[in-house]
Parts: sequence; C-alpha cells; structure tokens
Amino acid sequence: MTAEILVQAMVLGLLQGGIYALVAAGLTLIYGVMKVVNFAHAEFLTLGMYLAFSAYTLLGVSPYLAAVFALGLVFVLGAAVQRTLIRPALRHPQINQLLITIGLSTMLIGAMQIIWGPRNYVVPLPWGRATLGLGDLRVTYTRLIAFGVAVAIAAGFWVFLKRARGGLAIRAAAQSPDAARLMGINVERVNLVTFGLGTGLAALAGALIAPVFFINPTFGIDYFLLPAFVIVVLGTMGNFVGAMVGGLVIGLAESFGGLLLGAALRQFASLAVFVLILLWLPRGVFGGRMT
Amino acid sequence: MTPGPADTTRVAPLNGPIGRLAAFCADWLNAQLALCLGALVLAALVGWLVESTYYIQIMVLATIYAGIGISWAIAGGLGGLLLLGYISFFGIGAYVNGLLFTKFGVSPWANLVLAAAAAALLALLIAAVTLRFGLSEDYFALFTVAVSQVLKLLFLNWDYAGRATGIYITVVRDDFWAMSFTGRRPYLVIALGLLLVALAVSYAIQRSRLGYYLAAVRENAQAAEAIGINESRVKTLAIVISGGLAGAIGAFWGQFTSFIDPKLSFSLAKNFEMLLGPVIGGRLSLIGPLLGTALVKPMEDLLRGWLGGGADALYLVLYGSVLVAGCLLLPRGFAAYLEAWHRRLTARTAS
Amino acid sequence: MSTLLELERVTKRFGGLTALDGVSLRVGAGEIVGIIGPNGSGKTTLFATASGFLRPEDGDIRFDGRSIVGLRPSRINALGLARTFQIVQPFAGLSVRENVVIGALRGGRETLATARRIAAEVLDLVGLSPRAGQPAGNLTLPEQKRLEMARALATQPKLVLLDEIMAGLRPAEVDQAIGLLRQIRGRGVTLVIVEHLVRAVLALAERMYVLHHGSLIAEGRPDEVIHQPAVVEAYFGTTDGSPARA
Repeated sequence: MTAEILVQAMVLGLLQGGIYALVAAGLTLIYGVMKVVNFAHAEFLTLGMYLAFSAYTLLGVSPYLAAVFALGLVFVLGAAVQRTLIRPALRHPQINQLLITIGLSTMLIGAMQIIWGPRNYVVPLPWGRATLGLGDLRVTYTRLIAFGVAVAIAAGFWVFLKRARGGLAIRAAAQSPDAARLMGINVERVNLVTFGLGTGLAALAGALIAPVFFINPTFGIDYFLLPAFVIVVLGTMGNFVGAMVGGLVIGLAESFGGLLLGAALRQFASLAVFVLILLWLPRGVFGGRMT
Repeated sequence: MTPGPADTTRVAPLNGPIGRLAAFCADWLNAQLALCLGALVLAALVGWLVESTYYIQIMVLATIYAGIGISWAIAGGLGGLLLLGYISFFGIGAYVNGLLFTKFGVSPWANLVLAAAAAALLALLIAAVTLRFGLSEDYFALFTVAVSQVLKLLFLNWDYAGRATGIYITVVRDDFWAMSFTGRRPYLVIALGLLLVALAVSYAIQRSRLGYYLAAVRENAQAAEAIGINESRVKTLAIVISGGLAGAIGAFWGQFTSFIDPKLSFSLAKNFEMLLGPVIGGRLSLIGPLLGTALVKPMEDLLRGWLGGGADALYLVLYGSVLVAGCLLLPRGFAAYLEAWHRRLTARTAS
Repeated sequence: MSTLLELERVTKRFGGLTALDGVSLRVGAGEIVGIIGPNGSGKTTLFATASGFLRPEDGDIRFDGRSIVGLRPSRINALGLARTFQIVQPFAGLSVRENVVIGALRGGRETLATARRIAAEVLDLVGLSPRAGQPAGNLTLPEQKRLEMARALATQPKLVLLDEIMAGLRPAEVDQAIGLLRQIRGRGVTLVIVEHLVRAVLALAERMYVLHHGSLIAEGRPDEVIHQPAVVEAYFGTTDGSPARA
C-alpha cells in the first residue's frame, strides 16, 4: 500500500466526513432538544438531492443555489411534520415515537418514488467531472465544494448556537425544557424550529452532494442513515460539536475501512465503531454533556 | 390503568359450562386467553375451509407475525424494554435451521429447539453487554438495531452460509420429519402450534412471579431494586425468553419460505413490520399483538398483492401512513379499549 | 444490644463535592435511630449509599455482620435492609395491592399465595386496605408515602431506612404516623428515620445523629443533642441551612 493511496483515502474520507457532519448535526440537534431518534432523517437528505436535481433539469438553477431553496422548503416541511406527527408523539411511549419516524421514512421514500420514479439520476453539471490535481491526488470540484460549503454552514450554525438568541433558546431547551419554560422560552416553538432546521440542514447537505452521487429514493437510508446514527452516538447524542468531530472520524473510518476490508465491508467499519462506542463509551466521547 | 399482572376479581357464580366460562373470563387475562384460543380455532377452521393456496399463505405469514408479536411483547411490552432490533433472533433461528437441515440433515422439528437455544444465547449476550455497560433506552434500541445489521453483514460474507445467495430448501415430496410439505395447510397447523406456544409462555409469565417482576421493572426499575428485585436478571430473562421464541419461529419461517438469505432474514423493514402489530394492538396485553397483527399483516399482504408489483411506491406511502397513524392514534393499542369494555362488562355483571 | 448496621468512615463524592465525609455510625437491633440535618447535609445520600444505590469512595458498611459495599440494592434488600424513597417511587400503573405483593415476593423467596397474604396484612397495618384496588398513581401524596413504607415492610426487613415519610403530613397525620412506626418497631423491626420534622424525631428516636455538610456533628440522646451548640449553629446559625420546619 503506497503513501499516495493512504493520502487519497484520507482526503476522500475527510470530504465525505464533512457531509456526514452536516447531516448528523441536524439529527443530533433534534435528539438533543426533543429526545426523539429521527429514523426519517436520511429521507430529508434524499429529498434535498431530488430538489436540486429538479431545479437544475427543469429550471437550470445551480444545485448550490437550489441548496438554499431546499433548506427553506424542507424547513417548512420539517416544521409541518413536527407539528402534525412529532409533537403529539412526544407524550407517547418511546417505541411509538420510534415507529412513527420509521413510518414517516417509509412514506417519504414511497412519495419520492412516486414523484421521481425508482431510476438513478445524476445532476449533469457540465464540469461535474472536472478534477483538481494536487500532485498524484485528483479530487472532483463538486466534492470539494460540497465539503467546503458543508463545513462553512456547520461552523456558521455552531456560531448561531453559541451567540444568537435563537441558538441560546435551543441550547436551553436541550438542557432542560422545564427550566427553559420558566425562563420564558417558548419550548414548543423551539421544538418546531429545531426540527425544521435539523431536517433543513439534511436537505441542504443533500443538494450539495446531488452532483456527486446517483440519486434514487433509498439513497439516504442506504448510505447515510447508519453513518449518521454512528456519528451522533460517537459524539454523544445531542452534542453538536460531537457530531462535527464524529462526522470527520466516521468519514475517515469508512474510507480506511473500505481500503482494508474492501468496498463490500465498508459499512462494517461504521458498524464496528458503532458497537464499540456504545459499549465502551455509552455516553459517547463527549459524554457528560448529554443533556 | 396499565394492566399489570391481573388481580383476581370475584363474580357471583353462575351454573353450567357457560357460567364457568363467564366466571373464568371475569379476569381480564383469562378473558384474553379465551379470545386468543377462540381466534386460533377460527383460523384453523378458515384454513380448513379455504381452498386458495394464496390465502392460506397469507394466513401462515400472519400467524408467524402474530407469534413474533406476542414473543416480542414479553420483553418490549411486559418488560418495557426498547427492543427495537428484534429480527436478529428471528434471522439467527432461520439460519440455524437452514444450515443444520441442509448441511447435516437434522430434522427441522429438532431445529425448532436448537434455533430457540441459539437465539436465546444471542439474547443472553446482548443482554449481558448492554446491561453491563448500562446503555440507556435509546442507546439500547440503536444497539439492537446495529447488532441485526452486523449479523446481516456477517452472513452476507460467510461462504459456508451461501453469502448473498443464502440457503435453499428443496421440497419434492411430503416428508413429515423434514417438515416439508407440498401443500400449504400443514404449515398453517405448525404455525398455529407455535403461536399457541408463544401464547402459553406469555400467559404463564403474566400469571407468575416473573410477570410481577417485569411489571415492577417496567414501571420503576429503581423501586424494584429497592424491594429485592434484581433488575438486570429480570431484564435478561425477558430478552432471553423473547429472543428464544423468535428463534424457533424464525426457524419455521425459513422452512416455510424454503429460502433463507441475509437480506430477508435480517431485513430492517421486516423488523419494523413485526413490531407494528404488537404496538398498535397493545404491547402490555396478551391479545394485543394477536389482534394488531391479525388486522395489519393480512392487510399489508393483500394490499401488496392487489396493487401489484408496479405500485410498490404507493404501497410504501400507504403502509407508512398506517404505521404513523396507528402509533399516533393508539398509544396504548386496541387492547386498552377492550380492557375498559371488559371492566365495564364485569362491573355490570357483578352488580 | 447487638449492632445491626454500622457505617465506618464512609465517604461519598460527586465530582468535587464531598456529600459524605467520613461518616461513622452504628444502629443496634431493635433501635429507632433518628438522623437530622439541614437541607443538603447528606441525609438522602447516606441512605442511598447504605442501601447500595450509590457506591462509597471510601469506608465500609456492614449489615448484620457482613460488609455490603458493592452489593446490588436488591441483594442488600434480600439481606434484610429495606428503604423508602424521599421522592415517592410507586409502580404508578399497578394497583396498590400489586405494589405491595411485589415487595412481599421478596425477590422470589415467597410464593405468590404467601405474598398475597403478607401484602394484605401489611396493607391493613398501614391503613391502605380500602385503596388496595386503586392504581398507585391515583393515591394522594401522604397515601403514597404510606405505600412506600408498606412496600418496604412487605419485604420483611430487619431494618428500614425511612426517608422523610412525614413530610407534608398534617399534625394529626404525623401523630398517626408516629403511632404506626412505634407499632412496627414493636414487631422487632429496627428503624432509621431521616426527618425534617424534628418534633417527630424527638418523639420517636432513642438515639440521634446530626449531619451537617456531609459530616456528623453530634450524636446522642435527642433531648441532649438538640441543645448542643454545634447543632443549634448548624440549624440556625448559618445562612445556607434552612431551619427545621418544626
């Protein structure tokens, strides 16, 4: 195994990890605030991909501009889902909550298949295959842009959580909904906005990677659900920074795992990390800040 | 009120067999048992009368799922455990029978027991590590799902078990010891038998001290420990019993479909489909999983058949909607309504 | 009098906070021992540690002649040490009777039939028989406190740690509870009571310990202890300790 291959694996792993981080950020945020494990999260990513695809093929809009619309549109959809399904389910037993998000995932996959069909699509950017060469290493611009934007958005969102009033409200609600309520925070609205933002970020990530991967209705659940769960568990469910770091770590783990075990067992690296983390660090690497 | 182990209610005695049955059914758990047994007899009767292989096939699958639902509800309902990844035990059972039968010629009848043992062992392992490391509920749920997917990957890459192709069981003639039948009816009889076993186990648990421990641990694990109930042991026992039963049913399922592959045996979609019945039927009751599955599973199969292969997207939307609506509108399941009705009925009879 | 429960220099820390600082105490068989102290003095931590819910960093706890440090709470209960919870922990969805029957099963050492009989007796004793069929969640708070006690007694303990079972009771109910506790002791059960209500402790306890900031600051006969300067200081002299709600 040469050094170039290792460097290649590392760069590809990091690029993938940046996207993972953005997707996992939304998932961990939703868990942190509502304590709901959203099994439908990856479908919002797929939806973002399809939105970017349709925006490009029907209207000629760049996927990167479509990403903004995808964020807005899915924010509204996510908020509507929160209001109609998640909010009433919060009082229900956990198993019901889990099955509700699982049912939502099934519905969304079916709906996307009805709208876009089961075929694989790709956003045919004219420069979609253009690569940047760094010595022997070649990386497509689409991957680089997706990574750069994802990391920038995630960083911006982190600043929002730390500095802005809205971010403070989200963090307060995640710490303790009751205390937040006493502080005059409208927790219902925070839940609504958090679900909208979390799913919106997944859609935004989807639009960013629409020029990179083949799009089909089960893309998200096939390739992103498991890594996203691994990442939020690794970074402690509910911990934003944990999801960021976890995203990069899992991107790298999969990349090197694929190199060592072969493509078929790529996901095994994720699963192995998942099981080991659950066992040795049941509260995640960033444990203790779980609430 | 959440049903725990039932208190025995006394009703004025009536004479004759009807009176004895009424007195027996004055207790909610007994009433459920009577209804379940009635449903089994009815299913056997329908299976005997119906000629269509297609409908019998659907009945066998529904019976398998009902058995799985009752078995799951022992841990997931009575024990209050968030056992989300349940298909691992089912899949292991299917493979144990598939391998032992096709490679070593062991009778599937014996494999029912061996598969149950293997699945129980896996359950013991899962319980031991998750309890040892003190996983909280959500983490436990995700862990069990992860285990099922690890198993899927292992079987996908295990040459001896046929990798992605899996194992085929060829049936050329009726052979009782090989549990191979050219018709579908014998399978229905076996499926009903397994369902009866699951029902008997669940009933016995709810009547026994274990039923009380499960209720205590489910309601408040800390308080249970304080009065001498070993939480870990009770939870372990629940997972092991639940898993063991699923193993036996999984073994039969593989024998029935005569095709065992990793994608089907450890399918997450099927996993969740299995939990839908008990959850919307009422996971704290005996009759809930049976009722929920009897309503949902045939509906799914008929819908799928009726919509045809080309409309699986529409099927997904409809099925997803049922899942969401059921879990949202029936947080305690149909059984809660039945129980309330039963309480009113017995109150009226008593006065 | 033989020693039933003995704590020897028990220390319990939560991060940087020392909740119990080298606490040593002794409870003889058949005694009623009171433990008082201002809010946050470590009374509940003491109970949680003695009953196995918390593991001490240092020191030894012996019950009935053997060390119980590191044993599961259920195991400690099986040895004969029961506890109640200050914040009531009923099996809310189960009936009052079922709550007590579960205790009476003693982790499997009694049959269901025996447990039902014991539960009926205990429910009679604490006066909850009329409510036996109700879901435990429907009880009033004073009733739930009595249920806590009933469940603990149903395990047939040698010793019960009673954590603030009189909080929130009206004066007449307090007198009733005092009578009940005397009756229970009369059956040979040793009692350790933590109570905010100093009056109740004074009326019941033969010996008393005072906890302050995780340390024992006084020990002895209640009427003597209550007048010791350190105790008066702990209750009334500092700003962080709230005075007793006597």
